[in-house]
Amino acid sequence: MITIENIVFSYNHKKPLFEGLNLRLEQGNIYGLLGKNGAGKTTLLKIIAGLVFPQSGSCRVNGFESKDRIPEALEDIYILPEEFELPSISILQYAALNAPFYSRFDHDKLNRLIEEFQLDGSKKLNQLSYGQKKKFLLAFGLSTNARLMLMDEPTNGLDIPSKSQFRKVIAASMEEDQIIIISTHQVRDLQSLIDPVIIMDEGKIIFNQTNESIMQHLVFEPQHRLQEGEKPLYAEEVFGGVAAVFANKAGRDTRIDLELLFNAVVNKTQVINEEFANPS
Amino acid sequence: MKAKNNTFSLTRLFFLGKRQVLGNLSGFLIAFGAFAGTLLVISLLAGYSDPGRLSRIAPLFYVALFIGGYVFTSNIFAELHSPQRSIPFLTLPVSKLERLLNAWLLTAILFPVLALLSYALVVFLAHLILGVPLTATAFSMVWSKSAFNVVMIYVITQSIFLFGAIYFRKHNFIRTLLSLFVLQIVISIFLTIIVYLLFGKTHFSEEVFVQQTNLSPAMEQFFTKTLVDIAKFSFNYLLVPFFLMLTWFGIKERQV
Repeated sequence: MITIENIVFSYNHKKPLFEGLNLRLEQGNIYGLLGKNGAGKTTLLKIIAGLVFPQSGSCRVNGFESKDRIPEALEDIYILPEEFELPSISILQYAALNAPFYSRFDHDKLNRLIEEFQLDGSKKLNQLSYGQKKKFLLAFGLSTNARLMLMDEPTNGLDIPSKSQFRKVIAASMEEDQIIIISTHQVRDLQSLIDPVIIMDEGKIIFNQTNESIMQHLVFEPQHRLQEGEKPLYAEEVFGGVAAVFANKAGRDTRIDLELLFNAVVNKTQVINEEFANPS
Repeated sequence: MKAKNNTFSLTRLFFLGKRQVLGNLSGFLIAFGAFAGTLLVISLLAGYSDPGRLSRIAPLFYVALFIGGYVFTSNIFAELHSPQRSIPFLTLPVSKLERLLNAWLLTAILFPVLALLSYALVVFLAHLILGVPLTATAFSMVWSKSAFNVVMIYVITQSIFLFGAIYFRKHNFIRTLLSLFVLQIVISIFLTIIVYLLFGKTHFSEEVFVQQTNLSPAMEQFFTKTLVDIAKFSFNYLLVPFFLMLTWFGIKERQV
Protein backbone atom coordinates (compact mmCIF):
# COMPACT_ATOMS: atom_id res chain seq x y z
CA MET A 1 0.00 0.00 0.00
CA ILE A 2 1.16 3.55 -0.77
CA THR A 3 0.29 6.39 1.55
CA ILE A 4 1.12 9.92 0.53
CA GLU A 5 0.39 12.55 3.15
CA ASN A 6 0.63 16.31 2.81
CA ILE A 7 3.46 16.30 0.36
CA VAL A 8 4.98 19.64 -0.52
CA PHE A 9 7.43 19.60 -3.39
CA SER A 10 8.93 22.22 -5.63
CA TYR A 11 11.70 22.27 -8.18
CA ASN A 12 12.21 25.94 -7.47
CA HIS A 13 11.07 27.65 -4.32
CA LYS A 14 8.84 30.16 -6.10
CA LYS A 15 6.09 27.87 -7.31
CA PRO A 16 5.56 24.53 -5.58
CA LEU A 17 4.43 21.68 -7.81
CA PHE A 18 2.71 19.83 -4.97
CA GLU A 19 1.18 21.69 -2.04
CA GLY A 20 -0.19 19.26 0.52
CA LEU A 21 -0.77 16.35 -1.87
CA ASN A 22 -2.58 13.35 -0.39
CA LEU A 23 -3.11 9.98 -2.03
CA ARG A 24 -3.72 6.42 -0.95
CA LEU A 25 -3.17 3.52 -3.33
CA GLU A 26 -4.32 0.00 -2.57
CA GLN A 27 -2.91 -3.36 -3.60
CA GLY A 28 -4.41 -5.37 -6.44
CA ASN A 29 -4.93 -2.38 -8.74
CA ILE A 30 -3.43 -1.06 -11.94
CA TYR A 31 -3.66 2.69 -11.51
CA GLY A 32 -3.66 4.89 -14.58
CA LEU A 33 -2.01 8.20 -13.86
CA LEU A 34 -3.13 10.72 -16.43
CA GLY A 35 -2.36 14.37 -16.83
CA LYS A 36 -1.15 17.06 -19.16
CA ASN A 37 2.55 17.74 -19.65
CA GLY A 38 3.99 19.26 -16.50
CA ALA A 39 1.06 18.12 -14.34
CA GLY A 40 3.46 16.30 -12.00
CA LYS A 41 2.98 12.65 -13.01
CA THR A 42 6.65 11.76 -13.42
CA THR A 43 7.59 13.70 -10.30
CA LEU A 44 4.96 11.81 -8.33
CA LEU A 45 6.37 8.49 -9.58
CA LYS A 46 9.86 9.64 -8.60
CA ILE A 47 8.70 10.62 -5.11
CA ILE A 48 7.07 7.22 -4.67
CA ALA A 49 10.28 5.50 -5.82
CA GLY A 50 12.40 7.65 -3.46
CA LEU A 51 14.23 9.29 -6.34
CA VAL A 52 13.30 12.82 -5.36
CA PHE A 53 12.51 14.00 -1.84
CA PRO A 54 9.54 16.15 -0.90
CA GLN A 55 10.29 19.28 1.12
CA SER A 56 7.71 18.13 3.66
CA GLY A 57 5.12 15.41 4.14
CA SER A 58 5.60 11.68 3.86
CA CYS A 59 5.40 8.98 1.23
CA ARG A 60 5.27 5.44 2.59
CA VAL A 61 5.46 2.35 0.41
CA ASN A 62 4.54 -0.89 2.18
CA GLY A 63 5.27 0.85 5.47
CA PHE A 64 8.70 2.20 4.49
CA GLU A 65 9.46 5.87 3.96
CA SER A 66 10.42 5.93 0.30
CA LYS A 67 13.13 8.60 0.62
CA ASP A 68 15.08 6.34 3.01
CA ARG A 69 15.76 3.98 0.08
CA ILE A 70 16.43 0.97 2.27
CA PRO A 71 17.16 -2.34 0.51
CA GLU A 72 14.10 -4.15 1.86
CA ALA A 73 11.83 -1.43 0.48
CA LEU A 74 13.70 -1.15 -2.82
CA GLU A 75 13.33 -4.89 -3.44
CA ASP A 76 9.62 -4.22 -3.73
CA ILE A 77 9.87 -1.28 -6.13
CA TYR A 78 10.63 -1.45 -9.81
CA ILE A 79 10.48 1.61 -12.01
CA LEU A 80 10.38 1.53 -15.77
CA PRO A 81 11.45 5.04 -16.76
CA GLU A 82 10.55 6.74 -20.01
CA GLU A 83 14.19 7.38 -20.87
CA PHE A 84 16.96 4.98 -20.04
CA GLU A 85 20.42 3.90 -21.10
CA LEU A 86 21.50 0.31 -20.87
CA PRO A 87 25.05 -1.01 -20.61
CA SER A 88 26.91 -2.72 -23.40
CA ILE A 89 26.27 -6.24 -22.09
CA SER A 90 23.94 -9.01 -23.20
CA ILE A 91 20.40 -9.49 -21.93
CA LEU A 92 21.44 -12.60 -20.04
CA GLN A 93 24.48 -10.89 -18.52
CA TYR A 94 22.31 -7.99 -17.38
CA ALA A 95 19.92 -10.41 -15.75
CA ALA A 96 22.78 -12.33 -14.11
CA LEU A 97 24.28 -9.13 -12.67
CA ASN A 98 21.06 -7.51 -11.48
CA ALA A 99 18.75 -10.39 -10.52
CA PRO A 100 20.69 -11.35 -7.32
CA PHE A 101 19.55 -8.12 -5.67
CA TYR A 102 15.94 -9.30 -5.79
CA SER A 103 15.33 -12.24 -3.49
CA ARG A 104 12.05 -13.19 -5.19
CA PHE A 105 13.44 -12.94 -8.71
CA ASP A 106 11.83 -15.51 -11.00
CA HIS A 107 14.29 -16.62 -13.71
CA ASP A 108 11.72 -18.89 -15.37
CA LYS A 109 9.35 -15.96 -15.71
CA LEU A 110 12.13 -13.86 -17.25
CA ASN A 111 12.96 -16.57 -19.78
CA ARG A 112 9.26 -16.96 -20.61
CA LEU A 113 8.81 -13.24 -21.12
CA ILE A 114 12.01 -12.92 -23.16
CA GLU A 115 10.65 -15.65 -25.40
CA GLU A 116 7.22 -14.05 -25.55
CA PHE A 117 8.73 -10.68 -26.51
CA GLN A 118 10.91 -12.47 -29.09
CA LEU A 119 14.14 -11.14 -27.65
CA ASP A 120 17.51 -12.76 -28.19
CA GLY A 121 19.17 -13.32 -24.81
CA SER A 122 22.66 -13.25 -26.26
CA LYS A 123 22.19 -9.89 -27.97
CA LYS A 124 23.82 -6.84 -26.43
CA LEU A 125 21.38 -4.42 -24.84
CA ASN A 126 22.81 -1.35 -26.56
CA GLN A 127 22.22 -3.02 -29.93
CA LEU A 128 18.48 -3.40 -29.31
CA SER A 129 15.89 -0.94 -30.58
CA TYR A 130 14.19 1.38 -28.09
CA GLY A 131 11.06 -0.77 -28.09
CA GLN A 132 13.04 -3.98 -27.57
CA LYS A 133 14.95 -2.42 -24.69
CA LYS A 134 11.67 -1.36 -23.15
CA LYS A 135 10.24 -4.86 -23.50
CA PHE A 136 13.33 -6.31 -21.87
CA LEU A 137 13.15 -3.89 -18.94
CA LEU A 138 9.49 -4.71 -18.55
CA ALA A 139 10.27 -8.45 -18.57
CA PHE A 140 13.02 -7.92 -16.02
CA GLY A 141 10.82 -5.73 -13.84
CA LEU A 142 7.97 -8.23 -13.82
CA SER A 143 10.42 -11.02 -12.99
CA THR A 144 11.64 -9.19 -9.87
CA ASN A 145 8.14 -9.79 -8.43
CA ALA A 146 8.30 -6.34 -6.90
CA ARG A 147 5.03 -5.45 -5.23
CA LEU A 148 5.10 -1.96 -6.72
CA MET A 149 5.72 -1.34 -10.39
CA LEU A 150 5.95 2.20 -11.65
CA MET A 151 5.81 2.74 -15.39
CA ASP A 152 6.34 6.05 -17.12
CA GLU A 153 4.91 6.04 -20.63
CA PRO A 154 5.42 2.29 -21.04
CA THR A 155 3.85 2.02 -24.48
CA ASN A 156 5.88 4.84 -26.06
CA GLY A 157 8.06 3.37 -28.76
CA LEU A 158 6.27 0.03 -28.87
CA ASP A 159 4.91 -1.19 -32.19
CA ILE A 160 1.24 -2.20 -32.54
CA PRO A 161 1.68 -5.95 -31.78
CA SER A 162 3.96 -5.09 -28.87
CA LYS A 163 1.32 -2.85 -27.33
CA SER A 164 -1.21 -5.66 -27.19
CA GLN A 165 1.53 -8.00 -25.98
CA PHE A 166 2.28 -5.47 -23.25
CA ARG A 167 -1.35 -5.40 -22.11
CA LYS A 168 -1.53 -9.18 -22.14
CA VAL A 169 1.67 -9.62 -20.15
CA ILE A 170 0.73 -7.02 -17.54
CA ALA A 171 -2.74 -8.48 -17.07
CA ALA A 172 -1.33 -12.00 -16.75
CA SER A 173 1.41 -10.99 -14.31
CA MET A 174 -0.74 -8.92 -11.99
CA GLU A 175 -0.86 -10.37 -8.49
CA GLU A 176 -3.26 -9.65 -5.65
CA ASP A 177 -0.59 -8.00 -3.52
CA GLN A 178 0.79 -5.83 -6.32
CA ILE A 179 0.27 -2.21 -7.26
CA ILE A 180 1.02 -1.06 -10.78
CA ILE A 181 1.01 2.63 -11.58
CA ILE A 182 1.09 3.55 -15.23
CA SER A 183 1.68 7.15 -16.14
CA THR A 184 0.69 7.71 -19.72
CA HIS A 185 -0.62 10.00 -22.42
CA GLN A 186 -1.42 7.02 -24.64
CA VAL A 187 -4.76 6.34 -22.97
CA ARG A 188 -6.16 4.32 -25.87
CA ASP A 189 -3.27 1.83 -25.58
CA LEU A 190 -4.05 1.05 -21.98
CA GLN A 191 -7.77 1.67 -21.72
CA SER A 192 -8.58 -1.97 -21.06
CA LEU A 193 -5.90 -2.29 -18.40
CA ILE A 194 -6.30 0.74 -16.21
CA ASP A 195 -8.51 0.70 -13.14
CA PRO A 196 -8.76 3.04 -11.19
CA VAL A 197 -8.11 6.28 -13.05
CA ILE A 198 -6.21 9.13 -11.42
CA ILE A 199 -6.05 12.46 -13.20
CA MET A 200 -3.58 15.16 -12.20
CA ASP A 201 -3.55 18.80 -13.15
CA GLU A 202 -1.09 21.43 -11.99
CA GLY A 203 0.19 19.26 -9.16
CA LYS A 204 -3.23 18.32 -7.82
CA ILE A 205 -5.19 15.09 -7.96
CA ILE A 206 -8.37 16.29 -9.59
CA PHE A 207 -9.96 12.88 -10.16
CA ASN A 208 -9.54 9.46 -8.56
CA GLN A 209 -12.22 6.87 -9.31
CA THR A 210 -12.54 3.19 -10.07
CA ASN A 211 -13.93 2.06 -13.41
CA GLU A 212 -16.99 0.69 -11.66
CA SER A 213 -17.72 4.05 -10.11
CA ILE A 214 -17.10 5.87 -13.40
CA MET A 215 -19.51 3.59 -15.24
CA GLN A 216 -22.04 3.96 -12.49
CA HIS A 217 -22.01 7.74 -12.66
CA LEU A 218 -21.17 8.63 -16.24
CA VAL A 219 -22.27 7.72 -19.73
CA PHE A 220 -19.89 8.19 -22.64
CA GLU A 221 -21.13 9.02 -26.10
CA PRO A 222 -18.10 9.36 -28.35
CA GLN A 223 -20.24 9.98 -31.45
CA HIS A 224 -23.44 11.79 -30.64
CA ARG A 225 -25.93 14.25 -32.11
CA LEU A 226 -27.19 16.50 -29.39
CA GLN A 227 -30.99 16.65 -29.14
CA GLU A 228 -32.81 19.69 -27.96
CA GLY A 229 -32.89 19.90 -24.20
CA GLU A 230 -30.06 17.43 -23.79
CA LYS A 231 -27.52 18.69 -21.28
CA PRO A 232 -24.25 16.83 -21.29
CA LEU A 233 -21.80 17.32 -18.44
CA TYR A 234 -19.17 17.83 -21.08
CA ALA A 235 -19.17 17.87 -24.86
CA GLU A 236 -16.57 18.42 -27.53
CA GLU A 237 -16.92 18.63 -31.25
CA VAL A 238 -15.78 15.64 -33.24
CA PHE A 239 -16.14 14.79 -36.90
CA GLY A 240 -19.82 14.28 -37.58
CA GLY A 241 -21.21 15.41 -34.23
CA VAL A 242 -20.08 15.69 -30.63
CA ALA A 243 -18.40 13.45 -28.11
CA ALA A 244 -20.27 13.90 -24.87
CA VAL A 245 -20.26 12.77 -21.27
CA PHE A 246 -23.63 12.53 -19.56
CA ALA A 247 -24.73 11.79 -16.06
CA ASN A 248 -25.78 8.16 -15.87
CA LYS A 249 -29.34 8.73 -14.69
CA ALA A 250 -30.78 5.62 -16.28
CA GLY A 251 -28.12 3.23 -15.04
CA ARG A 252 -26.82 2.59 -18.54
CA ASP A 253 -23.75 0.52 -19.10
CA THR A 254 -21.36 2.20 -21.55
CA ARG A 255 -17.72 1.70 -22.32
CA ILE A 256 -15.39 4.21 -20.66
CA ASP A 257 -13.73 6.48 -23.17
CA LEU A 258 -10.60 7.49 -21.27
CA GLU A 259 -9.66 10.28 -23.64
CA LEU A 260 -13.12 11.79 -23.35
CA LEU A 261 -13.12 11.31 -19.59
CA PHE A 262 -9.74 13.02 -19.34
CA ASN A 263 -10.88 16.02 -21.38
CA ALA A 264 -14.10 16.23 -19.39
CA VAL A 265 -12.31 16.13 -16.05
CA VAL A 266 -9.63 18.63 -17.05
CA ASN A 267 -12.15 21.09 -18.54
CA LYS A 268 -15.07 20.57 -16.17
CA THR A 269 -13.39 19.35 -13.01
CA GLN A 270 -16.01 20.60 -10.61
CA VAL A 271 -19.02 19.46 -12.67
CA ILE A 272 -17.67 15.93 -13.10
CA ASN A 273 -16.60 15.54 -9.48
CA GLU A 274 -19.93 16.84 -8.25
CA GLU A 275 -21.63 14.12 -10.26
CA PHE A 276 -19.72 11.58 -8.17
CA ALA A 277 -20.37 13.38 -4.87
CA ASN A 278 -24.04 14.20 -5.52
CA PRO A 279 -25.40 12.20 -8.46
CA SER A 280 -28.04 14.19 -10.36
CA MET B 1 11.54 -15.42 8.24
CA LYS B 2 15.02 -13.99 8.80
CA ALA B 3 15.02 -10.20 9.10
CA LYS B 4 16.88 -8.44 6.35
CA ASN B 5 19.87 -6.31 7.30
CA ASN B 6 19.15 -2.99 5.70
CA THR B 7 22.47 -1.37 6.64
CA PHE B 8 25.09 -3.80 5.48
CA SER B 9 25.23 -7.18 3.78
CA LEU B 10 28.44 -8.70 2.52
CA THR B 11 26.49 -10.59 -0.15
CA ARG B 12 24.91 -7.42 -1.50
CA LEU B 13 28.28 -5.66 -1.42
CA PHE B 14 29.80 -8.52 -3.42
CA PHE B 15 27.01 -8.41 -6.00
CA LEU B 16 27.27 -4.64 -6.26
CA GLY B 17 31.02 -4.83 -6.89
CA LYS B 18 30.49 -7.60 -9.42
CA ARG B 19 27.77 -5.59 -11.16
CA GLN B 20 29.97 -2.50 -11.36
CA VAL B 21 33.09 -4.33 -12.57
CA LEU B 22 31.46 -6.71 -15.06
CA GLY B 23 28.93 -4.13 -16.22
CA ASN B 24 31.78 -1.76 -17.15
CA LEU B 25 34.37 -4.39 -17.97
CA SER B 26 35.16 -3.21 -21.49
CA GLY B 27 35.76 0.35 -20.27
CA PHE B 28 37.92 -0.88 -17.40
CA LEU B 29 39.98 -3.11 -19.68
CA ILE B 30 40.59 -0.27 -22.12
CA ALA B 31 41.68 2.02 -19.28
CA PHE B 32 43.87 -0.71 -17.78
CA GLY B 33 45.40 -1.43 -21.21
CA ALA B 34 46.11 2.27 -21.75
CA PHE B 35 47.61 2.56 -18.26
CA ALA B 36 49.90 -0.48 -18.61
CA GLY B 37 50.64 0.21 -22.29
CA THR B 38 51.80 3.78 -21.64
CA LEU B 39 54.00 2.62 -18.77
CA LEU B 40 55.46 -0.12 -20.96
CA VAL B 41 56.22 2.21 -23.89
CA ILE B 42 57.92 4.75 -21.60
CA SER B 43 59.84 1.97 -19.84
CA LEU B 44 61.03 0.60 -23.18
CA LEU B 45 62.10 4.06 -24.36
CA ALA B 46 63.91 4.68 -21.09
CA GLY B 47 65.53 1.25 -20.98
CA TYR B 48 66.52 1.14 -24.65
CA SER B 49 69.45 3.53 -24.31
CA ASP B 50 70.30 2.61 -20.73
CA PRO B 51 68.92 -0.66 -19.33
CA GLY B 52 69.91 0.52 -15.86
CA ARG B 53 67.08 3.05 -16.02
CA LEU B 54 64.57 0.22 -15.91
CA SER B 55 65.02 -0.07 -12.18
CA ARG B 56 64.47 3.69 -11.79
CA ILE B 57 61.07 4.15 -13.43
CA ALA B 58 59.17 3.89 -10.15
CA PRO B 59 58.46 7.69 -9.96
CA LEU B 60 56.77 7.41 -13.33
CA PHE B 61 54.59 4.63 -11.96
CA TYR B 62 53.69 6.75 -8.94
CA VAL B 63 52.63 9.63 -11.17
CA ALA B 64 50.49 7.21 -13.20
CA LEU B 65 49.03 5.73 -10.01
CA PHE B 66 48.00 9.12 -8.66
CA ILE B 67 46.64 10.62 -11.87
CA GLY B 68 44.99 7.38 -13.04
CA GLY B 69 43.60 6.70 -9.58
CA TYR B 70 42.18 10.19 -9.14
CA VAL B 71 40.55 10.11 -12.57
CA PHE B 72 39.13 6.63 -11.91
CA THR B 73 37.86 7.72 -8.49
CA SER B 74 36.30 10.87 -9.93
CA ASN B 75 34.24 8.77 -12.33
CA ILE B 76 33.17 6.01 -9.96
CA PHE B 77 29.67 7.50 -9.55
CA ALA B 78 29.22 8.20 -13.26
CA GLU B 79 26.10 6.01 -13.28
CA LEU B 80 24.57 8.23 -10.64
CA HIS B 81 25.16 11.42 -12.60
CA SER B 82 23.68 10.19 -15.86
CA PRO B 83 19.96 11.05 -16.07
CA GLN B 84 19.29 7.87 -18.05
CA ARG B 85 21.27 5.54 -15.80
CA SER B 86 20.68 7.01 -12.36
CA ILE B 87 17.13 5.66 -11.90
CA PRO B 88 18.02 1.93 -12.08
CA PHE B 89 21.13 2.58 -9.99
CA LEU B 90 19.35 4.47 -7.22
CA THR B 91 16.50 1.98 -7.04
CA LEU B 92 18.84 -1.01 -6.86
CA PRO B 93 18.18 -2.72 -3.52
CA VAL B 94 21.46 -1.88 -1.80
CA SER B 95 22.16 0.33 1.18
CA LYS B 96 23.97 3.67 1.20
CA LEU B 97 26.84 2.12 3.14
CA GLU B 98 27.22 -0.62 0.53
CA ARG B 99 27.26 1.95 -2.29
CA LEU B 100 29.96 3.89 -0.43
CA LEU B 101 32.08 0.85 0.48
CA ASN B 102 31.82 -0.53 -3.04
CA ALA B 103 33.10 2.74 -4.54
CA TRP B 104 35.84 3.04 -1.92
CA LEU B 105 37.02 -0.58 -2.22
CA LEU B 106 37.19 -0.35 -6.02
CA THR B 107 39.06 2.94 -6.11
CA ALA B 108 41.18 2.90 -2.94
CA ILE B 109 42.01 -0.79 -2.64
CA LEU B 110 41.44 -2.67 -5.89
CA PHE B 111 42.85 0.06 -8.14
CA PRO B 112 46.27 0.38 -6.39
CA VAL B 113 46.56 -3.42 -6.15
CA LEU B 114 45.90 -3.76 -9.89
CA ALA B 115 48.20 -0.81 -10.58
CA LEU B 116 51.01 -2.49 -8.62
CA LEU B 117 50.43 -5.76 -10.45
CA SER B 118 50.43 -3.98 -13.80
CA TYR B 119 53.64 -2.22 -12.80
CA ALA B 120 55.22 -5.60 -12.01
CA LEU B 121 53.97 -6.88 -15.37
CA VAL B 122 55.42 -3.85 -17.15
CA VAL B 123 58.79 -4.34 -15.43
CA PHE B 124 58.75 -8.01 -16.45
CA LEU B 125 57.76 -7.29 -20.07
CA ALA B 126 60.25 -4.42 -20.44
CA HIS B 127 63.10 -6.67 -19.25
CA LEU B 128 61.92 -9.45 -21.53
CA ILE B 129 61.60 -7.26 -24.63
CA LEU B 130 64.89 -5.45 -24.07
CA GLY B 131 66.67 -8.71 -23.23
CA VAL B 132 67.81 -7.41 -19.85
CA PRO B 133 68.21 -10.16 -17.24
CA LEU B 134 65.56 -10.02 -14.56
CA THR B 135 66.80 -9.51 -11.03
CA ALA B 136 65.08 -9.28 -7.69
CA THR B 137 65.97 -5.58 -7.52
CA ALA B 138 63.95 -4.94 -10.68
CA PHE B 139 60.79 -5.73 -8.69
CA SER B 140 61.99 -4.27 -5.42
CA MET B 141 60.24 -0.95 -6.07
CA VAL B 142 56.93 -2.74 -6.45
CA TRP B 143 57.02 -4.26 -3.00
CA SER B 144 59.23 -1.74 -1.18
CA LYS B 145 58.27 0.25 1.88
CA SER B 146 58.46 3.47 -0.13
CA ALA B 147 55.95 2.02 -2.61
CA PHE B 148 53.69 1.14 0.31
CA ASN B 149 53.99 4.68 1.70
CA VAL B 150 53.17 6.18 -1.68
CA VAL B 151 50.13 3.91 -2.00
CA MET B 152 49.03 4.93 1.49
CA ILE B 153 49.26 8.60 0.51
CA TYR B 154 47.19 7.76 -2.55
CA VAL B 155 44.60 5.96 -0.39
CA ILE B 156 44.36 8.97 1.91
CA THR B 157 44.19 11.68 -0.74
CA GLN B 158 41.87 9.81 -3.10
CA SER B 159 39.10 10.11 -0.50
CA ILE B 160 38.90 13.80 -1.44
CA PHE B 161 38.33 12.82 -5.06
CA LEU B 162 35.73 10.27 -3.95
CA PHE B 163 33.80 13.09 -2.34
CA GLY B 164 34.29 15.17 -5.51
CA ALA B 165 32.91 12.22 -7.48
CA ILE B 166 29.57 12.40 -5.65
CA TYR B 167 29.47 16.16 -5.06
CA PHE B 168 30.00 17.36 -8.63
CA ARG B 169 27.70 16.20 -11.40
CA LYS B 170 30.04 16.85 -14.34
CA HIS B 171 33.81 17.10 -14.95
CA ASN B 172 34.38 15.72 -11.46
CA PHE B 173 38.16 15.32 -11.71
CA ILE B 174 38.88 18.82 -12.99
CA ARG B 175 36.39 20.41 -10.61
CA THR B 176 37.83 18.60 -7.57
CA LEU B 177 41.33 19.60 -8.61
CA LEU B 178 40.24 23.19 -9.11
CA SER B 179 38.46 23.22 -5.74
CA LEU B 180 41.61 21.96 -3.99
CA PHE B 181 43.67 24.63 -5.74
CA VAL B 182 41.25 27.40 -4.79
CA LEU B 183 41.01 26.11 -1.22
CA GLN B 184 44.78 26.09 -0.91
CA ILE B 185 45.03 29.66 -2.22
CA VAL B 186 42.29 30.84 0.16
CA ILE B 187 43.93 29.15 3.17
CA SER B 188 47.34 30.60 2.24
CA ILE B 189 45.94 34.12 1.92
CA PHE B 190 44.02 33.75 5.18
CA LEU B 191 47.08 32.48 7.08
CA THR B 192 49.30 35.17 5.59
CA ILE B 193 46.89 37.86 6.76
CA ILE B 194 46.65 36.33 10.25
CA VAL B 195 50.41 36.04 10.58
CA TYR B 196 50.92 39.58 9.30
CA LEU B 197 48.37 40.97 11.76
CA LEU B 198 49.96 39.09 14.66
CA PHE B 199 53.64 39.49 13.93
CA GLY B 200 53.91 42.23 11.32
CA LYS B 201 55.69 39.88 8.92
CA THR B 202 54.48 37.47 6.29
CA HIS B 203 57.43 35.18 5.92
CA PHE B 204 59.81 33.70 8.48
CA SER B 205 61.28 30.40 9.51
CA GLU B 206 60.28 28.29 12.50
CA GLU B 207 63.47 29.40 14.31
CA VAL B 208 62.74 33.11 13.83
CA PHE B 209 59.16 32.47 14.84
CA VAL B 210 60.25 30.92 18.15
CA GLN B 211 62.82 33.67 18.84
CA GLN B 212 60.61 36.60 17.92
CA THR B 213 57.48 35.49 19.64
CA ASN B 214 59.35 34.71 22.84
CA LEU B 215 57.17 31.70 23.62
CA SER B 216 57.27 29.72 26.81
CA PRO B 217 58.81 26.22 26.41
CA ALA B 218 55.39 24.63 26.65
CA MET B 219 53.97 26.85 23.93
CA GLU B 220 57.04 26.36 21.79
CA GLN B 221 56.57 22.60 22.16
CA PHE B 222 52.95 23.01 21.18
CA PHE B 223 53.65 25.04 18.05
CA THR B 224 56.69 23.16 16.82
CA LYS B 225 55.81 19.59 17.82
CA THR B 226 52.26 19.01 19.03
CA LEU B 227 50.63 21.03 16.26
CA VAL B 228 52.69 19.20 13.66
CA ASP B 229 51.76 15.86 15.24
CA ILE B 230 48.09 16.84 15.21
CA ALA B 231 48.36 17.76 11.53
CA LYS B 232 50.08 14.46 10.74
CA PHE B 233 47.53 12.48 12.75
CA SER B 234 44.66 14.30 11.06
CA PHE B 235 46.10 13.58 7.63
CA ASN B 236 46.86 9.93 8.36
CA TYR B 237 43.77 8.93 10.31
CA LEU B 238 41.02 11.54 10.05
CA LEU B 239 41.03 12.65 6.43
CA VAL B 240 39.71 9.35 5.01
CA PRO B 241 36.87 8.86 7.55
CA PHE B 242 35.93 12.54 7.18
CA PHE B 243 35.62 12.43 3.41
CA LEU B 244 33.99 9.00 3.47
CA MET B 245 31.38 10.41 5.80
CA LEU B 246 30.80 13.38 3.49
CA THR B 247 30.50 10.98 0.55
CA TRP B 248 27.97 8.89 2.48
CA PHE B 249 25.85 12.00 3.02
CA GLY B 250 26.24 12.80 -0.68
CA ILE B 251 24.86 9.35 -1.57
CA LYS B 252 22.08 9.65 1.00
CA GLU B 253 20.90 13.03 -0.26
CA ARG B 254 21.31 12.19 -3.92
CA GLN B 255 18.20 12.74 -6.07
CA VAL B 256 17.69 12.34 -9.79
